[in-house]
Amino acid sequence: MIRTDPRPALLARLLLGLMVLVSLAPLLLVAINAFKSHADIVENPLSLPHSLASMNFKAAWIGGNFSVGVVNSVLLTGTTVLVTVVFGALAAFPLARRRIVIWKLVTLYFLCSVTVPIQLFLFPMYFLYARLGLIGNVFATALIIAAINLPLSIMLLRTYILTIPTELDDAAFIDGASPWQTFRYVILPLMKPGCVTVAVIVSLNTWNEFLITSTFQQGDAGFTMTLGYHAMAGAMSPDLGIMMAGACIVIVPIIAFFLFLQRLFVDGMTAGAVKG
Amino acid sequence: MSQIAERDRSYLFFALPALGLSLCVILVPALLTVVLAFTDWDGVSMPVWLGLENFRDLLNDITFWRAIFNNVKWTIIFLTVPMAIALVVASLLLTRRRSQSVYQSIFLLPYILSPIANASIWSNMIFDQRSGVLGYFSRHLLALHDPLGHVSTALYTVASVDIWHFWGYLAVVFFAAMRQVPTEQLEAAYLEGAGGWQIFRHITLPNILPTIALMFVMVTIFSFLTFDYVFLMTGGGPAHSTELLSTLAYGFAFRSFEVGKATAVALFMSVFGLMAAYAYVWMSRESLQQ
Amino acid sequence: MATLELQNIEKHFDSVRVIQPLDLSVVHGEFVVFVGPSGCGKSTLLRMIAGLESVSSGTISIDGKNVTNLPPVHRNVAMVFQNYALYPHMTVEENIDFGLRIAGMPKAQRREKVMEAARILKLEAYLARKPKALSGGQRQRVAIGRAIVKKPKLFLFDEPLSNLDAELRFQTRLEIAKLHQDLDATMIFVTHDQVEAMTLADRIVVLRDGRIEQVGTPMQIYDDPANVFVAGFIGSPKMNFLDANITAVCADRAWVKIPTLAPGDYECRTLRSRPAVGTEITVGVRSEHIDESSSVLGFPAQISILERLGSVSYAHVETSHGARLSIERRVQRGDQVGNIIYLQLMPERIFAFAKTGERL
Repeated sequence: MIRTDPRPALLARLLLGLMVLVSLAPLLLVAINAFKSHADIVENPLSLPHSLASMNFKAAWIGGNFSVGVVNSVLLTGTTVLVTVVFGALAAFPLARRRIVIWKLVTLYFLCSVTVPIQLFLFPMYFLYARLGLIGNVFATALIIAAINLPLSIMLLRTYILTIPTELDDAAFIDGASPWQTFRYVILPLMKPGCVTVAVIVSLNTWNEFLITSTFQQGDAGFTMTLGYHAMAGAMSPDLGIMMAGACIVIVPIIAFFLFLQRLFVDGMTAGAVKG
Repeated sequence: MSQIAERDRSYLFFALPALGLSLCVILVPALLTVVLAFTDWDGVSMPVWLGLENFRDLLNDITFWRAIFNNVKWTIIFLTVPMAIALVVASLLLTRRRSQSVYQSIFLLPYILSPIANASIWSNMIFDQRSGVLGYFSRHLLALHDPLGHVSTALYTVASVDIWHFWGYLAVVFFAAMRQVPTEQLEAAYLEGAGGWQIFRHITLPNILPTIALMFVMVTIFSFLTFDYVFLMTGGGPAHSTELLSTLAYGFAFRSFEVGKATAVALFMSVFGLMAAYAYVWMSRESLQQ
Repeated sequence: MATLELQNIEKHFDSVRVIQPLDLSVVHGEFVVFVGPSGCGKSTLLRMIAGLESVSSGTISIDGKNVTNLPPVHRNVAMVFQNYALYPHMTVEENIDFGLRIAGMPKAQRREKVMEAARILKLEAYLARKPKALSGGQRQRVAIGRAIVKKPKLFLFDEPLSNLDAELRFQTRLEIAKLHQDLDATMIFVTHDQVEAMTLADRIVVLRDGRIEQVGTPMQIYDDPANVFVAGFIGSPKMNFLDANITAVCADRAWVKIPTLAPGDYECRTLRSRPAVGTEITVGVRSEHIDESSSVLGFPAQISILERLGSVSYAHVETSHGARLSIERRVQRGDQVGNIIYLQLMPERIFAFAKTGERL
């Protein structure tokens, strides 16, 4: 361990502490103000609440239509994750093993589609879905978000499969396994951690997704939690207390989910970016 | 055809679902977008062929140029501020052995939160003139004008919020890259008498250069695509001072129903994206070579 | 009928020819070793026999059936890999059982066969363990178990001992030799280690750059190498090679002048042909075939390096004319570095090779 000079260490601590403050301050603000009435907030946004009264939360839950929102968010996220992981794992297999003649082209296609702006396909898709009456259909929207998440997921799952030695494929082939059997009995079980990581990342992306969700999930019945909150925040700008309570409701599940699965989040985020 | 070659062919079916979905949702509409850019369409009736008129209109539209200019400003801001903060913080984290993962989690919190929540918190809780923290300070300490409402500060304000949201991700990525610098190299340099800054400059930095380069490209791509924070906090205003290509396109499509113009803007966005994509693919080339 | 017949087998990767057209026959119960330096194509050839690589041209027949285009499962072959290739998420029993399961065999029957294989390889105690809980030697036995449970016509081994440490390599080598005897199976074994080749093989196939250099029993390869490459590859330490030219030829022998040794002619009695007088050749003689003799009969050489291994030692010597030789000595003498010793070459053990490599 290379020894560090104590003085810079103090400076380091200070700087890091500052960044912690910057990161957490807005969240703390939300937390304390969710329990105050609007008048109290206006008077002093930085003061601690008198009591941990929950009336803001009740109002926010109703105002943000969160009972509907939760269902939609879960359905949307669940479907997207399912489609992305299943299609992605399947596609990553031949790409990792270079088994199809056009693997280079397909890999190139997926690499490029990471960089495609959503706007490039958003508008025709919207009007097509409108024609087909699919606006507000959670499952249809999930397909779009899945398509967007597929490239990075495939790349990630692909690097995962690359860590599985090809000798196992050979052994399975000699054992008489067809490609599907090789995938199902040998590759997939060994890919589980990669699939879990992808699932976690895609869940986060989908839950927080705005552009596609707001465009395609129009209409109150189709609102996800975040859209419900957005509508409420727009309509209810006067009451900050309720708004902050609503923000809490939206944020807390994500934070809990994140803290519980941090390891996976970080692994997934850094996997594509850091070589090795 | 030998059975071995047939085996290879059946692997194609594995890729079909993903390819199919992607082609249907992304490629085909993208091609349609390219075609639509040359038409006038309101989304309902038949499109009318316009040739290059949309492009001419855009090039003559001062808002369009302002949007491009804003995107460029945004890119420059993001390529400098959050990258620098992230690099510094990541290298500081290297020295905090035991508390590393705690810091990491805290710094990632803004990144994992929904843009809607973040935008709302900053717009309403912090920047709001009446009920927010800024309003409070204005009344009791220093009169501060609404940063979101002024043409000269709006873009930088929104960028700051997005920086607050984004820098943690960069820090985590850089931190992971720095941890992978082979310890033997660090020890060899230390044995030769190099101090902290020298080790960082001559050993750590060159080793994480691929990661930095990749982040550079990613940030550039996403800077030209960025939408959420601007849309949610200012909608492009005031007076188009925060208008970006993405919000411009959105406005054309869903407010004035000039889908042709919207898609033309999207094409411009893609051009910038494509250039960065070329760099991205070039850097990922080993995954194509293996 | 030959168990394995390769006819005119050729392999290209893109435009590079990796295996030159070659033929080979392996009879039932034989233990054949493919040996050669890295890149010689031995693994590729093995994989083609297994069905893991396609054949560019030529035919492969097993027991008279043309299997060239058939997948491995229809060829009735089994393979043991260098890195064992055990399925890490399955138990030992499931690993051995996998192929039978794919073939659709009912569970009771599978269990019986797995138990039989486990008994032969003494793996009964480990059936419920996963590979990571096993030692290297045990893993190798599981890999072999997976192969024998299929009762294949042909066992293929792809450098199975390379990943084991020296002690384990020695033991596993014996186990494989015993397995061969017990099962009376036909085995093809690939290695780059000529000691493994010599000790295990009934016949050795020496390969270089996709070409068969020589096929023969270990002693044939040792005593009668077909060219310079085979002579130098087999036998450790490597055979000593010296430049020479032919001064006289008669019925079954020749005399050669070796400029870098002492002046005078050396007799060579291993000729297969009648080369012309004056031909430039390469002379080869193994370190174990250089005798020590007296100053009258032998040529002088100075010891530059002495390697003592206990029962045997290797002296690396130099003559005053520039030849460098390695000699093996089984009897300990009190020599030191720098001493001059006198050496003699045995006429029945000197090989003559043309400059192009073939044996003369």
